[in-house]
Amino acid sequence: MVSLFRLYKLNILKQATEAILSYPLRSFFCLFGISLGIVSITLIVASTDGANYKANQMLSDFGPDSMIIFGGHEQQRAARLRLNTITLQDMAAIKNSIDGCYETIPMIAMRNVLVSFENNKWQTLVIGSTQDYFTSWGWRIATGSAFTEKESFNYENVTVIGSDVAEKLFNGDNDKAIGKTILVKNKPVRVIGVLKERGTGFGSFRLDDRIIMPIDTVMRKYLKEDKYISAVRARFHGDLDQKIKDVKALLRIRHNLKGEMPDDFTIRTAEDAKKFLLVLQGTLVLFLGIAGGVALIVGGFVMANLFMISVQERRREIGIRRAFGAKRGHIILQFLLEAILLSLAGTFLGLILGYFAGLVLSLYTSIPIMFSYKIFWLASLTATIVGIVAGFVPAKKAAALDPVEAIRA
Amino acid sequence: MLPLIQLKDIKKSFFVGNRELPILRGINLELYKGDMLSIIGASGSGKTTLMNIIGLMDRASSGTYLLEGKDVSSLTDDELSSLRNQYIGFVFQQFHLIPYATALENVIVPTIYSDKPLKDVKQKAIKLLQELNMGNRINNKPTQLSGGEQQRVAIARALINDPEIILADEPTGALDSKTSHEIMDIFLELNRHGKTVVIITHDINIANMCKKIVKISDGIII
Repeated sequence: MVSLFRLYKLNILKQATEAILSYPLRSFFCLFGISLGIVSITLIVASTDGANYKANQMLSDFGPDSMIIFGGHEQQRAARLRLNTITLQDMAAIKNSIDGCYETIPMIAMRNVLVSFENNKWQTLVIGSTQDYFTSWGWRIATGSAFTEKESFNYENVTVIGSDVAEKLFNGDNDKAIGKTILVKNKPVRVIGVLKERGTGFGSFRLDDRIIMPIDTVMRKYLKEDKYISAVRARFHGDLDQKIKDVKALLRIRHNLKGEMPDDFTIRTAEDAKKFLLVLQGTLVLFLGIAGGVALIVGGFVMANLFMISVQERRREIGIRRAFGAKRGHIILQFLLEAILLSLAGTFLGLILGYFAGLVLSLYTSIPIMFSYKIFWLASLTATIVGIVAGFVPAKKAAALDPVEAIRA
Repeated sequence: MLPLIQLKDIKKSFFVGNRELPILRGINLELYKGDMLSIIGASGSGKTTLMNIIGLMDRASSGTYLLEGKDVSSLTDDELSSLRNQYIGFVFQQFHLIPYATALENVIVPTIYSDKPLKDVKQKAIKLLQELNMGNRINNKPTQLSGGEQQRVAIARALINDPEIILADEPTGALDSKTSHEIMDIFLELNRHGKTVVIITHDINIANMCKKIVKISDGIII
């Protein structure tokens, strides 16, 4: 058997390239079929990696040991009906009577609140919570500081603003923001800190577009509320699934829900968000898997057919090579090499197209995309296999030609 | 002295449907190192079939073929390929160059299938082309070359592996008479330097330039 090194030294790759280039239209069709398949593979791997990365990030951001309890039933939430059914007393009960509960944080949200500084205006999300909010959710303070228990207790008008809000109101100058008084729903509030940027959350939702204020201030001064809150974040030691059941049972009793009556609250964990993301990504993988598989099979068939024609047209060349000592194995190797080369060229094209398709996908959908070298190797391997499979029958046919007949053709 | 090639009672038949069509009907031939032999015959006389058998491209139906005293009849396809690579340098009437490859790339084709060391293969090919006055055309493709030039490239290709025998099938058949003479001069020059040359032709003028002439008619040597 001939060594690949020898073929390489004798520039057989250049010859194979020349052979491919002498039939441009034919080669283009092969190339195109293969590259479509590779685009699919690229997107499958990139979206799988992206989704896994994102899911794990969400899990660690959210906290794998935590749950969030919202007011309102699942279906009411889906209909954007936000009912406040959770009370501060519920929160205290969870903390006191559920075993292993080591942290509860109340949260209250006001959406689309107008905030302004001088002439800069912006609509944002206002969250009222305790000083523990920052550490519990893993928020870092970029400049300034968080508020304290005392400030909350005194209903002080202070806030820590997200980096998006700092950008809109203070053109991103954090130092300038500290100590300034902004208007939040027409009430003056002093900026005491700016959060470190966190980037996009789930989908295209910006985590950094929010301001945090003491929950007592928000409840009393904005909402005239002293009982109901939007949600509770609770963290537990021990089996989270069991804790979910315990919390559910406790809240049903406290809310007087009997028998078949539906819950008037919803419990979410990081697993739920992760599941949703993976289902979304799973649908994409299924679709692309089918499309990509079909593209590769069609590409392979087109390639096999075109190589059949090629073998027929290049019979004389095969005869000549045989006359000068090429064994059958050499002829097979030559045609396989050409098929693989063409496949790899298709892969290259497919990777470039796939990269741009991935960018488009991540811009216009909530599917996260992450490129890695793994894609390159996987695509190359797939292309090589397609090349070998598609090239094998024509190559065998070429090798089986009688040299005397072939050279006379 | 042991003949380079010895053919004993070589017969070859083809089958057309069920009918057996004898092409060679008992050829006896001895070829010695340094011979300049022409095989002359009309078309249909069996000379091309004989060339294919001598060139190890085809197998005889019966008879014995000894190459340097060794019987080749039981060799495998791969073994015959190796022997062709080592022993035979073909030159064809229609040149048979690979159309997409340059002159230089065409010349090195036989070295791809050889076990000989690769060192200086390119230099050797360039040197051969230069000796055949093709030094300034090494990067040209066959379509950019005249018939005579293509045949010079083909001769360089036949020589690159230093084969024992140059086997030329109507090497001047597609060339005008002036170019034919130039090509024949190359063969004569090669023979003067000790190369064994076999030329198959139907042209008596070409045959007469060779030291030995074997005439074949209706499948036998007369």
